[in-house]
Amino acid sequence: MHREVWERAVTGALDWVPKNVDITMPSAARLYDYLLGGGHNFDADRTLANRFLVAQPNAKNIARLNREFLRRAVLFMVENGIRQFLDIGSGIPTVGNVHEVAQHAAPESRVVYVDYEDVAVAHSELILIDNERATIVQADLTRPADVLDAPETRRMLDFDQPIGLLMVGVFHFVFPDKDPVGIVRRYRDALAPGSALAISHFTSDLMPAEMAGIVEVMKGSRDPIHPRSREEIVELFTGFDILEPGVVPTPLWHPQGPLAPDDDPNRAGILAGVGRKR
Amino acid sequence: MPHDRSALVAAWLRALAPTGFTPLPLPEFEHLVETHVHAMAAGLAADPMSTLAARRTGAALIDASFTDAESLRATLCVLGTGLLDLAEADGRPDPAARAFEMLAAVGAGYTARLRDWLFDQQEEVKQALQRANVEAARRLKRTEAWFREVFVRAAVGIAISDVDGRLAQANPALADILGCQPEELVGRSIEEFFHSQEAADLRADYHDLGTVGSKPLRRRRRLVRTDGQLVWVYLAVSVLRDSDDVPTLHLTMVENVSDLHLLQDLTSYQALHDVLTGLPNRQYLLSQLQSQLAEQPAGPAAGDHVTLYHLDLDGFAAINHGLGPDHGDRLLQVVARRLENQFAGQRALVARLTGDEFAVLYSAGSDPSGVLATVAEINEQLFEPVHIGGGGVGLSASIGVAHGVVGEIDPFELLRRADVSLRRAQATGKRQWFQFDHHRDDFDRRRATLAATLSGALEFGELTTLWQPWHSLVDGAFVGVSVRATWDHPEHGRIGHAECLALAEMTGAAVPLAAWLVDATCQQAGEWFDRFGDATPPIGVGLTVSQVADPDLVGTIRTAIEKADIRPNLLCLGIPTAALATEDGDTRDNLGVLTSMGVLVLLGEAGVGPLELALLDEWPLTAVQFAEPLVRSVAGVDPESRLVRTTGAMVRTLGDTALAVAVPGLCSAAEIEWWRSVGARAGCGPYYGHPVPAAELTVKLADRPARGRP
Repeated sequence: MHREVWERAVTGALDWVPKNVDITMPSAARLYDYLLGGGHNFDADRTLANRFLVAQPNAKNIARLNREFLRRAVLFMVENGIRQFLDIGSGIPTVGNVHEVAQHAAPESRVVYVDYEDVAVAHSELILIDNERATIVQADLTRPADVLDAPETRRMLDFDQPIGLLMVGVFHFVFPDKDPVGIVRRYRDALAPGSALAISHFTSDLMPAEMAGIVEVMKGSRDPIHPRSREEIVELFTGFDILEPGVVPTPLWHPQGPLAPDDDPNRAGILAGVGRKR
Repeated sequence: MPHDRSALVAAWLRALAPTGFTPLPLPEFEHLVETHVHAMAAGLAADPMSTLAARRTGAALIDASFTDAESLRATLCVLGTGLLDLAEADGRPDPAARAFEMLAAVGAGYTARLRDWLFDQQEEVKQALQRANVEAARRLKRTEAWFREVFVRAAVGIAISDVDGRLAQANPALADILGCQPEELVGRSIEEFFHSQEAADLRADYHDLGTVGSKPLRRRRRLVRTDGQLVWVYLAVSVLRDSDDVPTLHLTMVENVSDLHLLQDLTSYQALHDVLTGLPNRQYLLSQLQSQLAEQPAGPAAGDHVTLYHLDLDGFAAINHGLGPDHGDRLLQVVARRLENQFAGQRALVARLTGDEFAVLYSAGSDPSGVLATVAEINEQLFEPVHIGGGGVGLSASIGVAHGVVGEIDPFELLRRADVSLRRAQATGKRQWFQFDHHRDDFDRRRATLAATLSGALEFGELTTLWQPWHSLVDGAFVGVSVRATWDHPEHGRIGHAECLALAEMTGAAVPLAAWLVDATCQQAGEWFDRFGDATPPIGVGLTVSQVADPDLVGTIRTAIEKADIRPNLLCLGIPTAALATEDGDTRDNLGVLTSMGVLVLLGEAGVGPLELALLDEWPLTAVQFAEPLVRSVAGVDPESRLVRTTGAMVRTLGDTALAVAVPGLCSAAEIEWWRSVGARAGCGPYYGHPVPAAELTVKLADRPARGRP
């Protein structure tokens, strides 16, 4: 009895102490994994995913197109000489992770993943155990100093050299009260000129009804969603020159060939772009 | 054939790509698909036919991340047609059956690999979960260890109690404060340790913490130790809430401030108390005055009275000398205890100010009366003999009393008033008391200021001499002169001779003033003598008691006479009765030498008592000058009164002894007539005219027929 009281006292008094991992609480990272066909998810995640699919029947394509944008953006950055990456909100290490893509193209590439969710972080650690050029930092992306000053970040990345900053499918989890533009600015300030920023973001500009459904579905989860207009997403690139073709639906960003019917830009749900720091 | 195969590769790629995300770059993806098409074609063509390649193709789909049901459907759709075409093209029997067998193998390979893949992924995520849990537990444990360390090692007492006050945890520091073991506290109610007077308030405070938006509690309180002793503590209490924001626990920090308390008390006690008697000292009294006289919400109300008694033990220096300082100290302690006892239980503070001075600050509320009774009781208490050094010593005190009204007087002023009153009481004798009087105070203050500046005024020539002519009561002729000092004060106007003398007596200025007067008189006498020779009348100088007692008086007068080069008998010193009657050696020596030098001496400020008569026989006096107040009294009463008759008799007696009688302060012809009738010879006063500058008298002297002495 007293033991229990004590623990409650401790955990109640100090809210920075992580509570036990709760798999009855769905996570956006595992939902994304499921939509991409992954098996790194739990019942609660799949239940949420099914509701998500009801609200947005094209969700699997949206997830795939977003993931394909990530791969193309990373390859684009590698082709432009960037060899180090900071992947903010990396989530579950599902197929086609940044380090796989980058190191496949340029084996010397170094990657720092950042996520705050316990299982995602533990999973990433497992995946990266034998990879000396990739690591994971557990931190809250809305506190840039926690990310940028983490010892692993400083050990892995050289901030005097260009860095590929990846914020793919993550800022729609950052609500306006957290000052998302200010957050990006603080990351930007830490980067060397020539660094690149890739952003993809849920938008209400495309399929507004379905987007409203998604917002509703995610409201009850640990990761509610705040979609943004194209203008708002462009604003996140403040201080960066947005490269061609600008902020566009994911399939239209440097497509590798003719678009398949399932790659319909109007149903892509997500806008994406890449910018270069001046 | 190659054409058909490449068509199949293209169709399959097209169908497969949208069904899943593959990490493979497009060329590799194309190459993969192409390889599998060729492998399956080879398996189909082999004899006997081999489905192994088809199984591998199914598995390869999973490996390329095409895990969705759509991927299998699209694959089987495309391959179904393509494989049938290939089977038919080789011309061997049962092409459909062979194509279906291949398709079935793709499905089996896909499913088998999907199953393994899923198990692998589930295993992976389970490991990740486990790892996350272990990490969380490790962090929790580390935090708990930190917290536990803080809890156990803290110098501050920490208690965790439930909302009913039951202690769930108590650290050693708390147990130490409460005088027991930590285990003994668990399960007991924190309220057991509340002080009974504070328990209700504290319970309410704890309860209020539970309300939304309440701030953490911080209070200075007493706790009751397990041994019953009280301990002063600072309590800091906060509330811990569960995930639904319901208050579940109280976290109480207990800081022991008793040691600090004692130390603070000790330091302030030493700073504010007299070591010998243990009474509050002057500083303490002052702080009490400050707090009592200031209007405060919780203090005395404006308009309430406080009375300050300032006591000085009479003759304590003599007692201290006589009995020794040890006995003196003992005596002071006894006085302290008696005063404390007298005022015990009253709103009064007894303090020792310095040496043998004590003070009693009495809060009289709205009624400032009862001073007389209090003063009487103080002296009654003190008079009770103290048996010390083999004898009983009874004491008395002079007491100054000052009232103050809360909100109207500041502490220093009250202290000053009590002190002034004490000095006044002491001036009237022993065992006297005096209550502060505003008018007296203003007058005294003005006089004190004048007295303090008199020496300077004398030095800077602000004082001048005037000359009082004396006249014969018989014919009104000008017969003599006396010198008068006058001070033309820039602020207070003209200050007359008597006041100058009185002011001089208050400070050390009396002796220099006498010297100045004697000097001026001798010089004037010299001037007149040079001009009028033997017709020059003697000039009178009235001296005070202290001036006569000055050991240097003879030297001063001798020097003045020699400097002016006059006959000593031109100088006539007026000596007050009190000075002539003294036993003081210096006075007697002075008068003896002066009379033998030939200086004239008259009895000044004389009354009509036996003392005066006795002095006539003792000293070689030239004349008797009555005191002015006596002259005024005689003029104001019934001519048949005892005073008038006695005075008349006295003057007649003096006349019989051939002593001249001089009467100052004469205002009317009737007065002059009476005095003349009883035998007085000379007089002065308003009737004859006021003192004048020397030049005026020089003219009078020049007009005067030669006469004898006044």
